[in-house]
Parts: sequence; C-alpha cells; structure tokens
Amino acid sequence: MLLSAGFEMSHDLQEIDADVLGADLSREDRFYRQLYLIRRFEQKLLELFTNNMLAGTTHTSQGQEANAVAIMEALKLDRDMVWSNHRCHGHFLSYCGQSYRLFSEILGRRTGACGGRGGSQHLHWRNFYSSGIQGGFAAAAVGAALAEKDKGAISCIFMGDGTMGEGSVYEALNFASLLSAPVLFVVEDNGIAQTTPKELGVAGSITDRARAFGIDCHHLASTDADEIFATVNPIVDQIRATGRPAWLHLETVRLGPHSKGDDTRDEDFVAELQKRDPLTVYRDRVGDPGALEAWCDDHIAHVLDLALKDDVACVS
Amino acid sequence: MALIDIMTPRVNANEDEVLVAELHVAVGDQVDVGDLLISAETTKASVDIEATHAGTVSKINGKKGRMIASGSVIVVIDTGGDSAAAGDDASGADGGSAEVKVTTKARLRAEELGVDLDTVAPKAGRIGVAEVEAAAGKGPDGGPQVTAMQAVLVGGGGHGATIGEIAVACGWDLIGAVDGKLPKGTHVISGVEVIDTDDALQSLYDSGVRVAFVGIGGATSSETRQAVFEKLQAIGFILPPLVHPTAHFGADVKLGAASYVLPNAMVGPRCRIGANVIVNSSSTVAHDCVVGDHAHLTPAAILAGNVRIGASSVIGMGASVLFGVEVGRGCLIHNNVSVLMDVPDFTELSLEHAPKHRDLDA
Amino acid sequence: MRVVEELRDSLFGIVERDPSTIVLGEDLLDPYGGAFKVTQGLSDAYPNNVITTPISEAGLVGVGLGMALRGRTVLAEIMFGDFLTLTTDQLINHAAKVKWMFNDAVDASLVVRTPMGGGRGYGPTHSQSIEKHFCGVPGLTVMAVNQFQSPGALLKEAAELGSPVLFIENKIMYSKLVEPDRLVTYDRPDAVILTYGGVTEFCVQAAERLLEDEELTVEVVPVQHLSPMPADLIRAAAAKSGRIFTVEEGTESWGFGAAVAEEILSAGITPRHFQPIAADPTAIPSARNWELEILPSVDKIERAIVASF
Repeated sequence: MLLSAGFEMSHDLQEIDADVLGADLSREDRFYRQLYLIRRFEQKLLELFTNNMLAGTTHTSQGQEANAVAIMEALKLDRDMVWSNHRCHGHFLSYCGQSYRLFSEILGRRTGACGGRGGSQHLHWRNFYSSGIQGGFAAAAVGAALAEKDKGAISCIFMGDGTMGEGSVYEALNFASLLSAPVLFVVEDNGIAQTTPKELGVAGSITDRARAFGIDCHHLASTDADEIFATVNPIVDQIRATGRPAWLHLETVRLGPHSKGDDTRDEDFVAELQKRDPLTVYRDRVGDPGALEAWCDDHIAHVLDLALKDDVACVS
Repeated sequence: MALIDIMTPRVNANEDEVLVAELHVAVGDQVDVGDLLISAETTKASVDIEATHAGTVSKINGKKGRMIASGSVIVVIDTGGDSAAAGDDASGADGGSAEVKVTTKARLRAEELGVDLDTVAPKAGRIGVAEVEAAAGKGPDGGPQVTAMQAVLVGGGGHGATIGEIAVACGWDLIGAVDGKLPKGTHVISGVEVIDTDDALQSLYDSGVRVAFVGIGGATSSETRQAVFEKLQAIGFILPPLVHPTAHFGADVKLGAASYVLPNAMVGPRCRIGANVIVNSSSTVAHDCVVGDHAHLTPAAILAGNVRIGASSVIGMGASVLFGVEVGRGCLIHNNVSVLMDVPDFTELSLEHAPKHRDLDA
Repeated sequence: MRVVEELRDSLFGIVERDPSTIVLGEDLLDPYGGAFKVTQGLSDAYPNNVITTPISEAGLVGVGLGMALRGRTVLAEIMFGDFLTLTTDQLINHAAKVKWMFNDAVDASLVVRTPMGGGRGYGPTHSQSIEKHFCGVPGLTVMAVNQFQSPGALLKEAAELGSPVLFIENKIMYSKLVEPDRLVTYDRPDAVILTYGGVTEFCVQAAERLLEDEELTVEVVPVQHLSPMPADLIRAAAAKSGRIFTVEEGTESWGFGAAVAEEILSAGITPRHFQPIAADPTAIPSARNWELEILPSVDKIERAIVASF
C-alpha cells in the first residue's frame, strides 16, 4: 500500500474515504486525483458563492493543492494529527476524502462534518482540526503531540506567511523545542496575506525563524507534489524518530483571491503564477488524466447534489 | 488610666494574617510585663504575644481558632494610672456624655411601634430591639411579647384569689392582678400581686396580654361583675371559662365565657351555663339545668334537675331549688331558702321576710 | 485546614486518581512549588505529571488545550489573574469553542486556575479581579472559590467536569482557614448579600458585625459558579429579603452585580433596595492605603447596608 502504513492500520476506514483518496491507485494517479479533486471542489464552491448559495466566506487553496496532497501522503493518518487554518479545504480533503461532508458543512447542512456549526474554516474530522484564528492552534498542536508522543504520533500544523506576525507561533515553537514535541510546522508561503504582500508583513527570514529555538529548519520552493513529498517524507520520519519538532518553509503560489473578489494583485503577475499551477505541473505524469478528472467531476456532482438535498442546520 | 494596644506581629512577608491558637488571658485579668497573652500561628511559625505593660486586660479582639490581621490590635491593657479615681464605671465618670448606641434594628422597630427613642432606657449603653419592645410592650413582629398562657386577673380580693388559684391550677400564667381599691403590690396569691388599677387593662391588652379572668364575686348582686365582664369584652380580651380539677363536670355541659366552676362543685349532664357565671364551691347543679349570664350560685347552693335560673340572679348558700322550678332574672335567693315554685323576675326571697320585688335599676 | 492546603490536597487527589493528568504552569517545580504554593510537593511526588513552563501564558494554555483535546485532564496555573488577558484567544476562541464548533465530537477537560485580588500592594497589573471579562462566554465555565465552602471540593468538581473551566482563586485567601460554620442562613433576613471569591470574607465579617452592632440579620450567599450563573440559587436568595446587595472585588459596570440584577429582575423579583458594591472604577494603586480605599471593605459593606435602612 502506497498511501502510508498508517492508512492500512486505520481502525475505521469509513472515516477516511479511501476510494475518494485513490488508495488503490498508483501514487501518481492518486496525487493527480487529489489535486484535481481539491481544485474542482473549490471551483464548485466559488460557483455556489456566486449563485448566493453559500453563507459567509470561503478561502480557496488554488495553487497550493500540492502541499496538502504531498504532506498527507507522508503522514500516518490513523494516528497523526493535522492542525489547519482558514484555508483548509485542501488539507481536509487530502486528509479524509470526505467531500460530501465538507460540501454539506460549507452549505450549512445538518449532515456537515461539524453539523453546519464550523463552516469553511472550523473543521474537525477524526484527528483533523482547523481554526479561523491565525496561529490559534499552534500551541494546541504542540500539546496534542506531547499527549500522543508515546503512541508514535506527530502533529502537523499548517500556517501561512501571514501567520508569521502572530506571537502564538513563537510561544508554540518555544514549547515544542523545550518539551521535545514531535511537531511538523509547515509554513505555506504564498507571498501574500489577504492583500498585504510578504514584503510588508514579514521581516527577516521565514525559513530561519525556528532555528533560534533549536528546531531543524527546511525550505522548498515548489508546487510539484512529488518534490514536496520527497522533501517532507524524510522530515516526518525524522520527527517521528527523534521526537523533536521540525520547521518547513514551503514557497507556493496563490492563484485565486484571498477569499472572493479581493485579489488586488496585477493580472500579469497572477498570469505568470499560473505557469506554476500544481495541476499543470503534474498532469503530464499520469497516463490518463482525463479519466481521473472525469471521475472527480462525477463524484463532485454527485456529492454536491446529495448535500444540497440535506436539511439545513438550525436550532429547531 | 492608660490603654496600651498590643499588636499582632507580621511573621512572614506573604502572610497577612495570623491564627489565634490560644488565648492565655481573659478580659479583667491582671497581667505583668512579659506575661503570655496570646499564642499565634502562621503556616510557617508560631509566635507568643506577651504583655508589654502591667495592668488589666480590658479588651481582646481575637477569638481562639480565628484569623486576625497582622499588625492589628489584639489585646488592650489598661495600665490603671491612678485607678482609685478613675477605676469606677468610666462612662459614668464622663458625666453622662457617653453616647447611647441605638442599633439599626432598634431604630426600625421604634419607628414601627411609634416609640420615642428618648424614652427608651438603654442597656449597657445601648438601645436594642429588646429595649424598644420593652418600652412599647410589644414583641417581635407586632405579636404579643407575652406568651399565649399569660393572663391578667381582675380583682385582687378573696374571690380574686380563689379564681386566681383555679386559673393557675388550670395552667394559666398570671402576670398579676388589677384592682381599683387595693394598693399596687398587694399580695393576691403566691406569685401574683396587684400590679395596677382596672384602668391599666387597655394598656395591658396593647402590650400583648390577651387573656383575663374575672376575680369579682358578689354575695348579693352580680352588677359589678357584669360591668367588669363587659369592659373586658369591649377591650377584646379572651375570657376563658375555668373548671377546677376537683369539680365534677357532666357530659355535654356548655359553659360560657368567664364562667367558673369552683372546687368540689358538681355540674350534671346537659346543663347550659351562660357567661360570667360562678358555680361556687360545693354547689350542686343537677342535670339539664339552664343558668343565665352573670348568675352566681354561691357555696353549697343546690339546683335540682331541670331548674332554670335567670340572668344575674344570686342563689344563696345552702339554698335549694326544687326539680323543674324556674327562678327569674335578677333574683336574690337568700341562704337556706328552699324554692319550691317558680319565682318571678327581680324577686328577693328570704326565710325572714315575705317575697319582695328588687329594684336593681335604682 | 487552610484554603491553600485544601486546594493542594485536592490537586494531589486529582493526579492520584487519574495518572494521565497534567499540571502545568510557571515556576511549579519543587522546592518552590508555585508562587502561591498550591502545587507545592506535587512535582516531587508526581514528576511525570507536572510541567514547568516558560513565561508564556497563551502558550501554556494552548499546550494544555491540545493535551486536553487528546483526552488528558489538564490543570494549568496562571500565576497572577491579571495575566489571564494573555490567554484570552486560547480560552475564548479555542478552549470554549472546540466542543460546540466541532459538533460535540470533542471536549477539553482543561482547568485554568489563577488567583485574583488585591490587598497586597502589588499594583495595577498584579491586583485586579478581571474574571468578569471571561463570564458569559458559551462553553467556558467560570468558578470562584471562597473559604466558607470547600475550595478543594470545587476544584475536584472543575477537574471532573470534562469541559474548560476558569477557576478563580484569591491571593489573600490562600492562608485563610476554611470555615463553613460562619455562613449563617435566616428565613427572612433583613438583607441578603450575593457575592463570590475573596470578598466573601468581607461580607461574612460585615454580617457578623451587623448582627452584633445593629441587630440586623444579613445572609451572605456566596456564588461559586459565576458562569453560567446559577439562576435558582440567585433567585432563591433574592426572594428572601427586600434588600439585596452584591459585592465583588472587580469594578462595577458590566459586572457580577449587573448579572445578578438581570437574574432577579427577569424572574419578576423586585427588591425595594438593590445595591452593587464593587471597586472604584480606576486601576489599582500600589500604595497600600489608597488600594484599600478603592477596593470593597468590611466597613463599606457595613455602611451601605446600614444606610439602606
């Protein structure tokens, strides 16, 4: 089994939809299946948003899908814990494949992953948690890793370049190092925090930020799922082996707006970024991308249809 | 007179209080310099507090087992000074300038009862609720300060003493007798003396006394007793009947308010005795008699069965009334007369004289 | 037994019964055993259960939350209540919310203990009583100890609740004796004082004095559960008397008195006199006498009650 040893050991496979994640596919097909699934899912969300069918806000991860796909591949999903943020759909889908539960959650349905309470930013499924507060779960990720260390589990927390301004991150780093917590800190650096470019929001080096805490720091600028996996996998192994935290600075791209209609960047600049679209990068590596895409299109149409028929969540 | 304050020490920086572990002296004790006054404790240490001056302990602020703030006064020693001059009651020596403390509750109670606080006598320099209520004669919540069994006896003479004894025998608690003719303090029976004149009845009632007994006899007439009865009724007193424990009391007898059955009297079954009637010692009222209000059956009077006695009539000692005879209202039957036939209202019957009409209204 | 000893015994009991319990906070390790000694001896007795942390209040509460989310019972100590402001995001946005926003699929058995209160001259940032800012947060239970009801039992209750609890202690209360006998109840007291925490003692002292000096019966009703507020307790106490006082050590506006008034009025109880007694609306000075002037005191409570008659 390619997905990971942990996947096979999962006690409740129903909670992780192996089918959707492509557990039986080759790694390349599985990666492309997931990349496309996330992209299609979020494109659907934007359509729903435009049609006034979504309440609140939604932050898509277009351009960053490869991070989710590659990192989840490296984790043991039966035991490791994932702590995500406002831009969490991709992480969630690659973690558990629960596209139906995510649609119904974002659509405010009773059948949602969190019963319609959390919505786009506040998700929980098995060992997956996300919060709409930047860096809000950083310390919790450390505590959880400590609590589960004797089970061979690690925590993986996703942050963005914008999160680097939050003090909570540095308190968490201090704890993680002092108490030897097995935590993978991932900074998905897409170069812009809502509308504020990194140059205006982050001083110094993101890569080196954790070094002063005695934490191993890694850097990769890539949207290639294979490259990311090749970088992350040994880091995860090392964290598990040493029980020590690690820091991974991943330079990526944000192809869409922060949430909806709030992209202030120059069109030419964004067009240039499109060349690094992780789907484009990966598409050539699979034998029959059209079949994988068709599967996802059908699947998404099906689960969206199901979710739309579900009861809306409310007090009564 | 000099007062010396003894303070609690601060034993450690983080503890603002000490525990009073032991009191070695009491207020009034004489102490010498160095005498142990108090043992105090903190979590870390215990400390003995000693007298710094000789004198009398005049105040202790702590109680055993309680905490007291560090640096506060725990004992006051009165070193006496020239104690011969100042040793008397200090507040008295101040020439009455000492302010009387009125408790808040007492002030409220005084407003409620309409009591002028200037008229209330303080107790130990303080006016409390008890003092206000004593001044007003009221109990808490406007209810009687007296107990439910307390009662006043009206009339402190011989008959009063007789009724008083019966009342006590029946469990009443007599607070005293009122009598217009006898001086205050006149002994009535054990524990009961004349406390005032009849004029005090209203204020006694106001103070919460609710029960009265009529201690007025009347060998020849019931008019005085009737007047007292009516006055008591008008004020609102409860006037329970009394039956002495040695009297025989038949079944289904009715006995009106303030009617008294005295020692060794006998009242047969089904008799109807009105209000304010005296069934005196050893008198006999056989079955089915009807006795009107205010009547007086004097000692050893005998009524056979089915006799009727009108209101306010007096039946003399040893007199007897034959079965079924009716004696009218306001009659006076002298001692030892045997009444064999009906007697009209207001008739006076004696062994010596022919029957004559009584003009009671005159 | 003193308050600190009861809390300590309770803490030992909690760890003893559940060996997976984690106690964490600043300067907890023996021989120091915590700034106010509640955890003294714990790290020697249970070295694997006690974590001494950096000065990092948000971090330590967040770490505690993470452990609690993974099934541990966690007792975090914040050295001074004033520092609680640093933990607000962790408490309000995370600990209090996780259970609900994650559809009741998780919970966090996290107790955050901290001492509030002045009277020691510690000044503006070490003397406050700011628990009101954490009351009324759905999902966060706020409890406060007083020495007339068992602080140890309350801590045990907090640890066994299974959901986040902010547990308010009081600096000057630690050395006080636990004295349940001093709470007196009456059928129809002249006045009722609803209060909580450290100033409960002032209320009890004032009630004792008022009984002795003024013959007034004053029933002191300490509230141990601040949020959610126990409506039945508040209303039953308020229904006993036409004079209701609330006493709190923090400032008045948006405080305990306001919350009590809401409970009473919404139940249709309209006392003839209602009066909150609280700290003056300023920061807390370090100068001792000044500090005592602005905080509630036995004298202030006594005077207010007498003046109401």
